[in-house]
Amino acid sequence: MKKIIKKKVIKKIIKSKNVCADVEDWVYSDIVKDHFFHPRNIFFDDEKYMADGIGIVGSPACGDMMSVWVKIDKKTNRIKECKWRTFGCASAIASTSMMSVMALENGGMTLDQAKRMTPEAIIDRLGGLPDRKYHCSVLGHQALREAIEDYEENRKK
Amino acid sequence: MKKIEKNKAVYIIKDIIKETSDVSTLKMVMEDNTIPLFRPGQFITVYFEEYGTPEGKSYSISSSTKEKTINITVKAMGEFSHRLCKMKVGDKIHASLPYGFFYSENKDSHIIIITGGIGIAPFRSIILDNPDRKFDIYYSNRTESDIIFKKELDALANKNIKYFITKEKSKGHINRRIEIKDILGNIKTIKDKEFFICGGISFVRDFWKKLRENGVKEEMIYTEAFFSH
Repeated sequence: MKKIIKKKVIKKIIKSKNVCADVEDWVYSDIVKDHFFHPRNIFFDDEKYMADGIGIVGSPACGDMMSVWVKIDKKTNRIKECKWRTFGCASAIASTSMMSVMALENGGMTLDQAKRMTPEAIIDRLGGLPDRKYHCSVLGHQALREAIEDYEENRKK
Repeated sequence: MKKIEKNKAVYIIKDIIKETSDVSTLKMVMEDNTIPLFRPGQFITVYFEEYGTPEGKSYSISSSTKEKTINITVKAMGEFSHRLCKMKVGDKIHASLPYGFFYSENKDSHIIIITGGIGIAPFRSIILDNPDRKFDIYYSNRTESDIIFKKELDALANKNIKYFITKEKSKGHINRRIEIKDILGNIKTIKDKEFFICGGISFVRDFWKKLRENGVKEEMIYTEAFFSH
């Protein structure tokens, strides 16, 4: 009985705060936990940091916001730095952390490869995410895509 | 620095087409009677703020850029989509401008489409906008009556289409789920092919994995997934 009441109360709190969450079947892979507790390539405030491209998606009003900063190796056209910051949930943090690792590994993705990164590739590397957290992995790759397009537009100027 | 301006726009419904028993196409224009610029494959995000979902819900554009209206094709599944399907001509919808990256930047590639049910929506836009491009379409539905845009799809000359029906026996169609061998067994080389998958999250995930297991490069696979339950 106690358990049932507790679940109802939690659901009520979640509903009232408009938080998207599933309290009943919350299973994270060890890789997701690792990237959540030890996120890679987080951007810390640094006024001197000069990114080649910046991408921002989502909004705080929606409960998730994602920013990505990239530096590009102009000779090879590969990503050499990929920093990020999010106002989002554990899945968003883990997804974006993994996205940044994928963007940088093996000498960095080419811009064409990075533009074509999919949520499925990120989720696969994370060892899976609950379907209702799919959205969290979309934000990271959208922000990366925006950052690359920002770089390409800056280059034209 | 470029911020994404997912500018909200107001669309006015000009016409509603009943496609199947639970799928409708809303044909819309903006308040100045124009349509916004978009690339086939993109979506708009619809907002009904009273539902407490400030992030809205996204629907793929199903019209080509050559049409006078911008269309979304909606399956009535939940409260939100039921409300959209019940809207009337003249009603206004608050939504974003078109957004998304479900489009090829290669002008000539041979495109392989893998989709199910309402996942066909963005492909109507993509196919109609590319009359000279080659498409192979693998389209799965539960029943024959669930097939959306069938007449239009059948009339297109630049495509090779296979319908899969999973929940009933249907003459002239393949009566099972799409299998990876249907797709890869039909093409000589995967090198010059781009694969577009659109459907429920698990449908898209499963085909993405199978394509990868069969040597298709990540950058040759485009995905668009949605909640199907």
